Amino acid sequence: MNNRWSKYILIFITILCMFLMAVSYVQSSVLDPVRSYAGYFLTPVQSGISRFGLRVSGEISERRHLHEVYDENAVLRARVEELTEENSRLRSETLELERLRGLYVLDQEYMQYPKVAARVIARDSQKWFRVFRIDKGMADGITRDMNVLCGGGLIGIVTEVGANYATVRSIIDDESNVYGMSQYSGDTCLVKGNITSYEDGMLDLTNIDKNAVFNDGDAVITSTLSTKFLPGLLIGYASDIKINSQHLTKSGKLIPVANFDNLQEVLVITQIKTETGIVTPVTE
Amino acid sequence: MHWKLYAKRILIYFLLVVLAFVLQTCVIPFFTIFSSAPNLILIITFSYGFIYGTATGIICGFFAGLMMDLFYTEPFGLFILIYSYLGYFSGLFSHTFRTDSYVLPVMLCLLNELIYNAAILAYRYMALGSVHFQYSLRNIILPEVFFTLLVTLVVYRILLGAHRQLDISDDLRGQNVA
Repeated sequence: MNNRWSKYILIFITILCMFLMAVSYVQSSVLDPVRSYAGYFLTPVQSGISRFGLRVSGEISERRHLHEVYDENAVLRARVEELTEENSRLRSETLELERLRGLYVLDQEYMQYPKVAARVIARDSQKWFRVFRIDKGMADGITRDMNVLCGGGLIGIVTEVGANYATVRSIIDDESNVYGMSQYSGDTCLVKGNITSYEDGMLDLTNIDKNAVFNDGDAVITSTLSTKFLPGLLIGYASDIKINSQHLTKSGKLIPVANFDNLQEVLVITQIKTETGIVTPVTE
Repeated sequence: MHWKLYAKRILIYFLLVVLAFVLQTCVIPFFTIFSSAPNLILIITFSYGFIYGTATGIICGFFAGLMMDLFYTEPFGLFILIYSYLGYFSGLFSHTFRTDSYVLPVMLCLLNELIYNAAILAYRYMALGSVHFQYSLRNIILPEVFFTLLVTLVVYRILLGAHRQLDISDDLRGQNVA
């Protein structure tokens, strides 16, 4: 290649990138078609290779963990016997519970959203941005702002959709804020992602009123206040709740239910929250 | 060289970067035994910049940045800018290129990694208003620099071998075309 021209190429690229950055900063959806078209080529490749990678890594860890599994098996067998006994006792209690529920007419609306399963096909290798990509996109009815669950808890929200993929920002990302509330008392809080807290497997819990009833171990669910997150999704459990130095608010940590280090299969809720309520988006 | 050979080279760089990127995002992160992943596309960018000069460095950097920009939802063009400049920067040292020395590539790898991570830190400071510098240094930057340095020793060798083969075949074909 001719190195004489490289300075001019560099100047050209600089101007082009500055322009593109300015455009995408002002209106981030302008370049979505570009990303979407690239997805047509990249997603099948990523999907195939990640499947291969998973198989290899699975086999390696299988060998590493085989002897651990033997020990665990013995412990688990004992546990099964214990649980079988417990189960029969609980079954009789369940019947009682069902009867009582009928009396109370409990609100069963929570956690009954339609979901679609998706596989994680690519992940951020450098941990700067806690985002990942799944193999379902516009063609499967996924749209922006859909909530994503894993292991029974909220893990993130869809930030960008292509024809056959979607990018999900997890709630441990620095840019993530979720309105939550205590399942027990209904008092609200803000769940913030923070990479330093996540080192210890936690998220930050802030903006709790000083008079709020918020105790360590309380289940934190998404609040009805949130504009993008559906109400009633379990996020995690509160811990280290303490009153702040100004005595105006309380804050603490949140232990998430989901395990963010080893995401493979996730569930996407196919309803989104809008100003008018919870709707199922119609994709063309 | 004939223009067809240029086109062939550019296509090879493109495919190589795509392959490296897919490996980097789809395979390595699933191996949880590694605490971080080597930045393969950065290795390709600075290696080719170093071997062939600034123009090639910029082209590889452009492709590498393009993949990153298509993958992340940060402002489009940010990574193209960073990687292109790194390719150019590495190309400035190409006059000292020798096939039997590994000292300079390793030094370049270190420099490139540090500049790259500093650029991202700067961007995040501008976008988020704050960065956890010590945490980032200990948990993101240092592991990545370490793994990338380790992998550079292997990948640079492979790229160098491929470079020799490519040059020989292009020389032969160039004679026929001329």
